[in-house]
Amino acid sequence: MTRDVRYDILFEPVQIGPLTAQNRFYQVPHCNGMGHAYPSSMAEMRGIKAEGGWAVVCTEEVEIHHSSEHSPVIEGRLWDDSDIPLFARMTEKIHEHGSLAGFEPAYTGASTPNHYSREIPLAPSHRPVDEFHPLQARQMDLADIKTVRRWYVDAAKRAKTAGFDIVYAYAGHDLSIPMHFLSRRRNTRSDEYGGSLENRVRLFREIIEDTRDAVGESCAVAIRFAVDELLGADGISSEAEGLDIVGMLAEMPDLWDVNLSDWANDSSPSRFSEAGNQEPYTAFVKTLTSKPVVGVGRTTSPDAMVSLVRRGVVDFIGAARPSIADPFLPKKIEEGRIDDIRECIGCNICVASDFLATPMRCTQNPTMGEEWRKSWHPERIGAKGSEAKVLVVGAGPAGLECARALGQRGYGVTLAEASTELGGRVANECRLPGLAEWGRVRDYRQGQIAKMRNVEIFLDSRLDAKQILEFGADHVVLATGAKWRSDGIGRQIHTPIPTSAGARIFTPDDVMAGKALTSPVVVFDDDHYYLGGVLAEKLRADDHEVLLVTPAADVSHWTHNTLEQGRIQTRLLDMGVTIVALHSLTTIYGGAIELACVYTGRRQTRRCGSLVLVTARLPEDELYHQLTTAGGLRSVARIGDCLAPGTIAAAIYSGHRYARELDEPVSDGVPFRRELPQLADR
Amino acid sequence: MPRDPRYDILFEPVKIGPLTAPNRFYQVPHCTGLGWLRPRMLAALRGVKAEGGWGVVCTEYCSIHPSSDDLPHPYASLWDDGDIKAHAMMTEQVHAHGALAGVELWYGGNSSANLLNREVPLGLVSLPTSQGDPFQTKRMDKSDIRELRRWHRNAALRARQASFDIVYVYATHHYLLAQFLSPHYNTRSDEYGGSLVNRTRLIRELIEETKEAVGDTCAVAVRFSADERTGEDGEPVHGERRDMLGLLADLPDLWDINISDYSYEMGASRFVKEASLEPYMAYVKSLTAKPVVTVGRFTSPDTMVGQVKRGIVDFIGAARPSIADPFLPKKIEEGRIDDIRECIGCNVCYVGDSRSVPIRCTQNPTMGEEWRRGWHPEKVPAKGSEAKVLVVGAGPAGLEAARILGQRGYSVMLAEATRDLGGRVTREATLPGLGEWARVRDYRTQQLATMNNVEIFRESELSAEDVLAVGADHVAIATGAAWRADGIGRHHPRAIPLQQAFTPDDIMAGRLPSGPTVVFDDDHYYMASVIAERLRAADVAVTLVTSADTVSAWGENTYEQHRSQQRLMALGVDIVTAHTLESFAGNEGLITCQYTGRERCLAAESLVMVTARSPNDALYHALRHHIEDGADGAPKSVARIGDCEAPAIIAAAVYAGHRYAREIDTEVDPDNPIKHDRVF
Repeated sequence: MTRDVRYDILFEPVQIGPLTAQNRFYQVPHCNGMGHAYPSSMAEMRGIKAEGGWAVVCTEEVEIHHSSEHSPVIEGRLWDDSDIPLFARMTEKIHEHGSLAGFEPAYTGASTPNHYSREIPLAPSHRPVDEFHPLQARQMDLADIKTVRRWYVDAAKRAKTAGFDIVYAYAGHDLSIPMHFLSRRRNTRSDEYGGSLENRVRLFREIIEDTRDAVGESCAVAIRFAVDELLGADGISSEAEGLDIVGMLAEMPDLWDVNLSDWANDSSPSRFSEAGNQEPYTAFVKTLTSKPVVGVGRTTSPDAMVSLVRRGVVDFIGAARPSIADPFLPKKIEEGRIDDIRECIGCNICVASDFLATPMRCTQNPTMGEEWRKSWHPERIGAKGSEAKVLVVGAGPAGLECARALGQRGYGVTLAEASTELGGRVANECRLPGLAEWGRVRDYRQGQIAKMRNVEIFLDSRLDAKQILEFGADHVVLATGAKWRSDGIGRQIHTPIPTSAGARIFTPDDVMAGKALTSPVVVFDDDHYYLGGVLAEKLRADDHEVLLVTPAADVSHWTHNTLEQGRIQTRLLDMGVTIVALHSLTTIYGGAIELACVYTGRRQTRRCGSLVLVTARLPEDELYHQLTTAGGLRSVARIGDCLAPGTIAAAIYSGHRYARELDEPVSDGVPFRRELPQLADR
Repeated sequence: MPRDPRYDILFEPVKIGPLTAPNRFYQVPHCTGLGWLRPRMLAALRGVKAEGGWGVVCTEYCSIHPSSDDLPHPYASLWDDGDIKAHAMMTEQVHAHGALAGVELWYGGNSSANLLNREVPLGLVSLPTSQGDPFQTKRMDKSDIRELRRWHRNAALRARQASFDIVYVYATHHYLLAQFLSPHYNTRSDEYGGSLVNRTRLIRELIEETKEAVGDTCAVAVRFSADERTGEDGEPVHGERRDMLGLLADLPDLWDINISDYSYEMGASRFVKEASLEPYMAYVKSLTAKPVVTVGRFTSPDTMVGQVKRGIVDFIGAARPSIADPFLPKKIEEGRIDDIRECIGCNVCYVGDSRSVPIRCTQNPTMGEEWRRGWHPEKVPAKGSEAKVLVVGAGPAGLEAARILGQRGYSVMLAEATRDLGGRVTREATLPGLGEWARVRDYRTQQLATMNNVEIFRESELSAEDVLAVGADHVAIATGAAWRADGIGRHHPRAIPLQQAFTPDDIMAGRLPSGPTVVFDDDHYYMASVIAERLRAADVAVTLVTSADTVSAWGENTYEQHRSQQRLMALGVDIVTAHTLESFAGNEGLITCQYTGRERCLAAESLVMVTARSPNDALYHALRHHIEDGADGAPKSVARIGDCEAPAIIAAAVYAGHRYAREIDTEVDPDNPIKHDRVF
């Protein structure tokens, strides 16, 4: 298929200082939970982005000195010369595909407690470090400022040696020392680095100049700057100091990479922000500079991209999450394969990996983080290993992905779905408030399968064990999902909750199926991810009186990892949901419930018209047990929630893995290549 | 000094299966924040313990299979032969000192979310993972149990290849094997569930299979909980545990006993004292002929002797005491009881595991630095010059700097403005539950008392001129920090309108507020909750307002959060979470919800601000000015150490003092002072 000419503009080369990017697709710096701890994994992942057509591929934040390190969070690390080869491998892989490699140094000062190096963090002014770590940062004196500038210079030189083309000066996400100096909240100095805006900009300006001097004429220097912190008068704003700062530095760099701060604002999930949400804040930048500008906004639509360029909002389409969900997004547009784009759903599961200090994963792209250690390519897959026929039962995320990947391998696949629609839990959940984009999990796979002649889909086809056996497939894959429990068993509670007659108990499945509830509705959340909060939101929007009870200290506790928790709790409180935190559910009566404080055990009773239990799920694995008992199949396997309920990402991964591993030798050891520390003394 | 013969019993060799431990000191498995991620740091740490006289030195929890992955918390692993080398490095260092090396084979079950490996976690039944990640386990069927046994056996064989002497079957701490034993978790109806015999079946199989695999040369230990569930502190609920232990009594070669409530087993000294497990496990030795080890934060040799003599244990188990003083056994052996650096029970060591960073210790600043900085807990290099050093301030940083400088042979003057040594440690030790923290001071004053080259001057507040007049070559300023009363802290970058506010310094000095009092916590470690407890003890009505969602939120990392909040609630403290204090005047505080921004008023007569601290660095800056102005008698160097440089925890202050003293007259590349375990 040839590309629509209206997308040609996206494939124009763009000059960045002394260099030329081959098109307008720009992977901005993003963390990935691999960095210095899993460097081969990191390098391969970046290389695949370049292969997929991203003209610029950047690092994550890179530590430049041991006195400002991110542990336990895994970022890049360029502390000394012995770290250079790791980055050289990354740049080599990027250059293989004609792309440019960008390097983002980050001295994070009071944002990181240095739990690993035990050095005292540095800051413009004395203050406790971010989060709740029990230490304070030390106010830098002028000698410290000189020293930090030297570290930036050392890092820039090492980056150049490692083969980077673009070196950043980074003031974003409320995270780096230049940003801390810009901030009136953090910088209360009275010397030439504090007070007036000119003074607060001084260090940033110096670092830009120093970087330029350090890398010479062959590298480009980029500025990454958060033009708005969404804090109104308390922070940098695109109508005040953000605007002024861009004006002051307008022509200094070779490129402006602009976004919002902090990270939760920059990487806002789809539940709270639509694609393109940053445009109102960043659009002014191009009016103040002649240098190319890159901006982000989780844009996945090529038409929206074209419009951004045509309207003069940006020169480059910046992306982090869309490049994670589909490393081949540019290639697919280039080749006119718009329907093949795997769009980011904005669930932010990628972000969680950073907080959890483990390699990044993605709901839409199960190969993320597996490129090197399992040799999984996001687009290529081994040809089938036999002429076997496979029956996949259940067309939720696991079943759809399994059928898609098996189909891609060339197997003859039958996908049987009991209901009248595809998508399983995704089809249900994407109808909940704010989760519409999650439907993309289904849409992408449905679109791909529609093109495969070797995959047949049967809707409204509930199969029993006998029918499955009669079907005559070689392999049967059960992807029948899970059902929410109604007995109260969950994370904190391991035995059924005592229940009186007349209690009206519902599960999330009931609520999503539209069952009628009576106010006051109590949502008991012992799951702690998004669903309890989303259901409370839906029920409140349906005009119920809603009480959310959770044994955790806050609502949807695990969503701290996806940058959502604060927004969720604020939204629920603003809507008038009553929140009872730190309480467990002890007894369910008709019309009431009894709660117990998790600290004191003190009891209280609350009125309850309907109780919604969001606790745990039970795999729908009856068919599996019937089939394994019956025998007669070459293989029968469970995937996704039917094997073990987890995230949608885990279900997709499970389906993908099954398809990859069919007819492949089974490993008895560690099923991936490991990255272990070197033991030689050096 | 020769050892008191009453301690001889602690140095008797004890047989463990086919092997003999050289004495009764047993470092039980404990996490370090190192694991497979930082193998060289780890091997050196364990080696130093063996050098210090521990007869047995164990690993942390060691995963037997990729489907048991606890990241981000660092664990050891024996997944394949590639892991053997790292462990062999440790066992070699342990054996070099004649100690035995133990490995705690571990399978997490529903505690593992397998975030690194993306494998489906296995469990008894399909339950959400216990650490809160959004995954459930797969219910193990019989073939999974067979696989688990095979993995365990393979790991035991690899352990032997790595030269371990003791191989554990780890059946406690709520991990998978413990759940098999538990009537609460184990609801299976097959031969692994139901009756006691069925629930112990897997443990029995694993003991037998481990013995069969490696038992000719290795001992097999079982780590087991002596009680069934958490009851009131000190009042065990034994349930079926005696019967269970009776069923397996002489099957393993050693019993390593702990209890079901982790927050009590390794409780902070604020809540739990020495030898607290005895009522839970005293029965164990009556049921088995095999040696028994348990823990109890033992630091007193007399208590240890009592435990052995009374037949409670055969081995003195220790995790934290061996961290605070890796040379504890040696010091008892050599009759140097006064040299013991006793654990204070602050649990800062536990932060390594909670935060996935290397372990550190308040009392022992060399912990975690053995390999990467080459710091030994007992040995320091001799002085590098004849310089005289003046240390100003005898808090934790100043005391430790003086001690190490003294140990190195420098001539040291330690000047303290007040009559008391110890600084913040002396003040904080008067607060409820923190008495043991005075050990930070006591150990150091004891050591300093033996040094002729260290002079201590009390009630000697020095001005810059005074310091110059002393004529020291080097001056270390360790003048500490003062709690702020202006509201500045994490939340407020600038002062807020407050009528007179108390600070923790006032409370510790005995200046208590009267009438209903608001304690505003924007610090989030222990201080606000301890202050609230102190005020309640004086019968002051307290409302604790915190910007976090819980009381002492950072105490999660030291396993104290739950007990802290529980205690305050039991004492009748009102708690308002997720609110910040905006102003306080006219017996009214204005507070704002962190989520909605909604404001409300709190009536109170007094206010205590626990927010941030100001370094007491006026002397430092005055000295710098004098030096820059070319004053006579200027020292070669002036440095700040501890809270005076940047307020932090006591561990950081001790560390800063130690580091200062180590690094004087030595070459350290400031840009590259540590070695690290690199992957690439």
